[in-house]
Amino acid sequence: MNSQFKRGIIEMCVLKMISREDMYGFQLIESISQEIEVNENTVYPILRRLTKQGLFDTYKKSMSIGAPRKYYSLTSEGKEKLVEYETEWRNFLDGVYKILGGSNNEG
Amino acid sequence: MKGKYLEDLKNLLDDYQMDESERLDIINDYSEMYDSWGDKGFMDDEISKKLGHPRSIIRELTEGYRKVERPLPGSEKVISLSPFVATIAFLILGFGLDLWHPGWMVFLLIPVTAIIMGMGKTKNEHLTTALSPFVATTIFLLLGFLYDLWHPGWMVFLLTPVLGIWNSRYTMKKVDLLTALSPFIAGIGYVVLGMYGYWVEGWVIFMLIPMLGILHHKNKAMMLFWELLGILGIVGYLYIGSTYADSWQYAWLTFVPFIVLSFFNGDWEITVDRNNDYRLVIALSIAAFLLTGFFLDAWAVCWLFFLSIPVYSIIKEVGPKERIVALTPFIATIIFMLVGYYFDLWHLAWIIFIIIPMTAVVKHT
Repeated sequence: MNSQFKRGIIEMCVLKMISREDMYGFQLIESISQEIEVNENTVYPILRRLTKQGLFDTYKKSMSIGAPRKYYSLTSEGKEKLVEYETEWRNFLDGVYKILGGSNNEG
Repeated sequence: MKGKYLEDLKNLLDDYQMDESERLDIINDYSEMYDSWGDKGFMDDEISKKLGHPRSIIRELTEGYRKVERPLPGSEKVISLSPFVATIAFLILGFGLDLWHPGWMVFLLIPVTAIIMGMGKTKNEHLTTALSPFVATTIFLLLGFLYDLWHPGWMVFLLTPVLGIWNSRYTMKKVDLLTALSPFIAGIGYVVLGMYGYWVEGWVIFMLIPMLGILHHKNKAMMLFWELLGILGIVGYLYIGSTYADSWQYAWLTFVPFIVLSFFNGDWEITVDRNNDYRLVIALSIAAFLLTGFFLDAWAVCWLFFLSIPVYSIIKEVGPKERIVALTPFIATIIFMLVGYYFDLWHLAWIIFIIIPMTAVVKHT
């Protein structure tokens, strides 16, 4: 798969996962990698970029053991972006399924 | 270990133009990841492997950032002076020592100086790759003019692609690096063996390429079986060919199991296309290789038929605008080998390689 295309999809997945609950980087990678092959060097730059764009807020949370962890939470801008991405993605998939001669509801 | 890892990462990040806060952010992220893997019971070596060596991940981390330019001291003066220094050196060599030829080669110092000063300011890891054509040309001409070693001196030009691959080693897995280098290793090995008179049996060295490629196979048992067939093919071929008189034309049959398995085993991690047309091209090139080898005894050059595989791939996959540029290295190699081998004009044949940059320049102007 084209790496740019894959990165775009991972970006959407990152937004979606953090919209469900605030997460720290390692937790997020572990969750995503259960479904898609990703590594730290792909996800962390996305987290940093989206934070810089104002789609995430970050805060530190103390742990009983070890250093505090940086948690990411979705901002209202991030929520809007996620809706935009999801709409685009569904339209894209609809188009692809039409071309392939099936429907996106089919298994 | 963690401190060393973060220190290495910081040193590499320092070469990029980014805010201190961004740099710190990246370091902190990696510190957190390091700790998270440590919490899971992984040892330092394992964590370092999981995260990737800083040199291998730096490109991903700094995508979109420019490198910091640190001009080498006095670089502009050195660049401006280099034509004069070269001219003076040329005149001294010419008038003083009557070395007009190959003394003219001192003019190669001008682009070499500019490259060193230009690429040195961003610590570009491809500095040696960029310099290699000049170094290779110098060595080639000196070997040719002084010792009449045009052949195999031409092999020094392989330095450029080999360095290109070598300088990208931090972004590649070890097995990928070896696979990428294997055509050059095999090519050099074949020519060296050929010079000792082993043109016929020497071609088995090219087995290195598929046998390294097979290491990418996901199924370990299949991979071992496949490798074993390759080794048996080589051993059998060499044994039969060297033991029984006039048996080289039959000895290659020992590779049949290996070829059959390769033909039907399509489960490759690295593959361009698994369509039937590729299989047909591969089969035809093998057939052409064997037929011209046996009937025309052209073992020294018939391996060129294998170039039809990447050539077909380029014709099929590369757009019309870039196609001719991508094809010129293959065209040049074919002409170079045929002219060099059949007319013994290695010393002149290398000039054909000039069509590669010429085509690229013409297409991009």
